[in-house]
Amino acid sequence: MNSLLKGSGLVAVLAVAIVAPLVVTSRYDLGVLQLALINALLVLGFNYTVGFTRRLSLGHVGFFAIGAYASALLTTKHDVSPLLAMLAGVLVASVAALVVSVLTNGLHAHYLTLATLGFGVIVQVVATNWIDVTGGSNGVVGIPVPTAFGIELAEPEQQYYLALVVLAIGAALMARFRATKLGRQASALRQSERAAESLGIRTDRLKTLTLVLSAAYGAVAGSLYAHTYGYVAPDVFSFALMLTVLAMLVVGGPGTIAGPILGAVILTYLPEMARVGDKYWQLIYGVLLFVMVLWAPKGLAGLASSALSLVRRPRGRRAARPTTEAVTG
Amino acid sequence: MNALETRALTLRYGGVTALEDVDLTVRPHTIHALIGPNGAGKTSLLNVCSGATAATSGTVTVGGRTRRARRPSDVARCGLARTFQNLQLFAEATVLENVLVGAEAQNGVGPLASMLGTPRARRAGRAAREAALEAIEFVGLAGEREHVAGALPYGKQRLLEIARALATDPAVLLLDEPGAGFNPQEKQQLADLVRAIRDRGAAVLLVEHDMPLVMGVADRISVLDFGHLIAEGTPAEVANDPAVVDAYLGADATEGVA
Repeated sequence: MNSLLKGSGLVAVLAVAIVAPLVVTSRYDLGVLQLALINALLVLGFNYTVGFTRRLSLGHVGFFAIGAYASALLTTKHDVSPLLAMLAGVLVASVAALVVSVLTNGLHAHYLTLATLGFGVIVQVVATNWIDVTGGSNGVVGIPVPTAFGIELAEPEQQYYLALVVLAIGAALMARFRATKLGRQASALRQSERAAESLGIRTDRLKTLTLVLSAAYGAVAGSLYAHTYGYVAPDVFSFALMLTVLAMLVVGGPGTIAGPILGAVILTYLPEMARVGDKYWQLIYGVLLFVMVLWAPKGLAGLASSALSLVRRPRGRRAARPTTEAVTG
Repeated sequence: MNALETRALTLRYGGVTALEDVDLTVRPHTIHALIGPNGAGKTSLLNVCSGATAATSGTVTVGGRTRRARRPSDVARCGLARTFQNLQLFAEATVLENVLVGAEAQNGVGPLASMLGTPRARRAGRAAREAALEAIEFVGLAGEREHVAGALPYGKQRLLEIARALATDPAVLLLDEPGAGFNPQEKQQLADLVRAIRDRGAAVLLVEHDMPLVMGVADRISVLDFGHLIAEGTPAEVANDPAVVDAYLGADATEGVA
């Protein structure tokens, strides 16, 4: 019953996502939709570390930048195909994640956060100052449109569907990850690293695996970004973006799959509304962040699932009913 | 071949010596109790044996394997499992999920095979599930399989930790004060469970404060005092050892009289 409900929910969301570009009329709105999908993929990757293992690794935008620059530079300067350029970006980002992971696996809490934050800063500094290669703060322009099976996807609608397919694959892979031994081990690591180690789980390898996976998603998102906008520059990959990605994950629901996507879509839209619309949108945006963190720490996805279980079956399979026969010490 | 062996094990924190030259041997199919006054170094010894703390010098051998172990997971893979004095459950997961994590932790299925769901990974998954269900049944939590671990009563949480450790199929199981907070009846059940674990094939190293429980269940007892092993033997031998009576039981007895 529950899976049936989930299934129909998934179909409904997919239907909306497929129809959306047909309904949306302005080029601008379509652009926001595209950005929402790219952000969703970026946040989904961030979910592997911060959502599943709850290790607050704040270098994620650095991987996004590596993917974007790999695509930008290889396609404009070396005539590499967009697909190959994307794969190269994924490879470079994964190697970078491996190095970051080996250096930071032993760190926890704010030490981990600061060290990985440093990685994001390094990437941005390199992009700004290695002018011969990256073009410095002017960035790279004239990045070609993406291709799929040899077809150039010049229309925004086509690019939207490309991003949607990539996002769906990313979500499906993540669902698989979560349902297997890997997902259970990541969850174990989040809840007690000591216990996970004591059972023989190689937590250092698990940390590396999740960081590499998150970097790969980030790099693919970066590649899509570069080909969609045709332009990358260092100021895109700022600490402010890192905070936005974090907010998207927290508002959506860390550790879930629908949550990061939902959070990314909503927090891509809200600032746009704040920009073009009523000034009160900005206030609503701020208040929403505040309220979510204080009263819905499991995010929108958490709210939705508790609302569902309240309505549908007050005594769910996993309902934590404390047994009455108390054990006295 | 011994289940667990320490040789000349020494642990110092700055100027403080927590363990000095400890030679401890836990034989297979044995319940071996480790006792000693508070601060004697019992938990330090468990932490060094399980790889959580690095020894200053000396060696630990688990199941005859002296492979260089640098992390607790390496030691676990040599066949050592443990429980924690302050419970370390996966509190948000169900009982079954907790034990399943233990059962599949060392089954050798890699990330890729796991993601692809290869036939071998699926077989291993089924085997792990069976092992987990068996371990849950063994400690008597079959009725709570789908309960969330954090919502279980305290005593059952302790049993769950034992089940999770057993699911790794260890050669030696370290129990750190498993009876803390138990009433006499529960302690009796615990004693039966510890015997059943031994009869199932694992050696048990038991750290416990409850003397009647230790005397009733242990095959061998080692006594630790100020980081030194001061006695080792059967419960009767240890109880009559003057050094032990002085260091431990004597002090208790005097307190009892006073």
